[in-house]
Amino acid sequence: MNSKTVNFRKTTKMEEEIVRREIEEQFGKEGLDSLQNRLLWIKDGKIKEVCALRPNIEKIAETISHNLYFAGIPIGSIKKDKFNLEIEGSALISLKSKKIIHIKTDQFLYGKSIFTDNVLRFDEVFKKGELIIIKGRNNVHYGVGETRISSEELQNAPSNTVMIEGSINTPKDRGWYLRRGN
Amino acid sequence: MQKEDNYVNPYKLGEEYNYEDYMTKRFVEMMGEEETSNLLQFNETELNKTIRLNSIRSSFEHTAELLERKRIQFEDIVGVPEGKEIISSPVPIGATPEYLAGYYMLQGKNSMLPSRILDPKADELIGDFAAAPGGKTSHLAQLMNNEGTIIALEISSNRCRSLKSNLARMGVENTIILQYDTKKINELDLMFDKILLDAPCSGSGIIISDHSRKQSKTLSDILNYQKYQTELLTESLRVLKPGGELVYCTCSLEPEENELVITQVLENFDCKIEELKIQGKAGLEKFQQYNFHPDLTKAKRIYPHTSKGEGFFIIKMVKEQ
Repeated sequence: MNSKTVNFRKTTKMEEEIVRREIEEQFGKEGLDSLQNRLLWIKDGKIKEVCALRPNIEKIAETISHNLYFAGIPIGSIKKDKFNLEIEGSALISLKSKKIIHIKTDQFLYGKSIFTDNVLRFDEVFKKGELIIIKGRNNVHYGVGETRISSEELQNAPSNTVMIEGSINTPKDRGWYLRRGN
Repeated sequence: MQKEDNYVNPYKLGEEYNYEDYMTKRFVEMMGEEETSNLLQFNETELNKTIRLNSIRSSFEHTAELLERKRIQFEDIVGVPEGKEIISSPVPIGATPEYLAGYYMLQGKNSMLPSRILDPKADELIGDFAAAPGGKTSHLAQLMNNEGTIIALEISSNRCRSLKSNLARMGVENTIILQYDTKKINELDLMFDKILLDAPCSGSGIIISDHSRKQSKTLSDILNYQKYQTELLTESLRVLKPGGELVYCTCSLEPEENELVITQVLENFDCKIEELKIQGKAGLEKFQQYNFHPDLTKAKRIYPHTSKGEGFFIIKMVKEQ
């Protein structure tokens, strides 16, 4: 067995504040609603992995925390006091929020960027530099990304304008499960 | 008994297909010459891929519709409503957006049986010991509607990583993963309503997907597995509540890893064996020098060539009150 001790613990007040503030800023009340009836825990490591636990899971996790590898669902990570929303966190939020962009390419799943030409539609207006949930055809959840232009600019931007930058090194798109997940 | 026209001598086949001699001999002792020939020939074919639709992410109907739109052809798997056998697919089935979004999992058709047989409920504490890569764990979670609690144990940190990744992809929220040795489960001070023990094994039931197994294991390896499996099952039964249920399974066909393990454990635990109502042959009553517990006939041996899937041994035990 690996002798490294995995520290899996409840968030501090400050960590909880960082996560909730970022989600509220980006997705409003609906975003926070997605965390309803879920408690935040941290898996310590090079980065702090944030996960959401249901109360019954937390109750048992508290009794065995020193042996715990993981529990609940991973929603993102905290690095330098900033919360980074990741794949499953954005999937949770997508159940409540309408801040969604629908695209017609699978390239994003390969860590590639989304161009204005790839956009089918969006459900709610958005500004430049905001987080937005990305879905493919048939409403399948693809991940989350940061917009490089606003919904207003999108209407008139040239087709080769980068709308959302892809990345192969961060768990923002579901292709991550093939690239790095296992 | 008269042999069928297409009968081929299993020893010749074993030699031709590069099995260790002892393996062919044991298969013949277990199931006779004709069945062994059928098994060895079947192991040279290729299984259709099978998937399990994940109701945590999407309804079966919706996922089936999305697959059909991709011109993926599939058939139902009898007795497993969430199971589908892929007949043909113009796209790689393990890399579609729906796969990545956890709408389905690639899972062998017979490996969908143990979770169904355990029949976990949404308000129960379930133990899944030796859980990675998480096919059965996420199946248990799905059958529990993602409620209740599963404690998934996995001793290897690499395998814990793949377990975590698969559970996240499938949207499983009711599981706690412990990087932990099942042999020490007693120290956690938990008592389980139900336990699934898919024990590490020599894998002689999955030669069809791992041809190296024809040569890679010796009799002594099988006996080492047997010792380890007996320890795991013993410790598992210790943390099972009275009246609780345990499903033990392996993808090995070796009687030492199956009937012998159960027979030895039954000497120390008062358990009832439940008759399994699934396709398959009854567990063995004896093999070589071993006489097994008479209730082992209630277990099922699922052979690859008759089930057109992976080989499995499955038994359900109920701990007496």
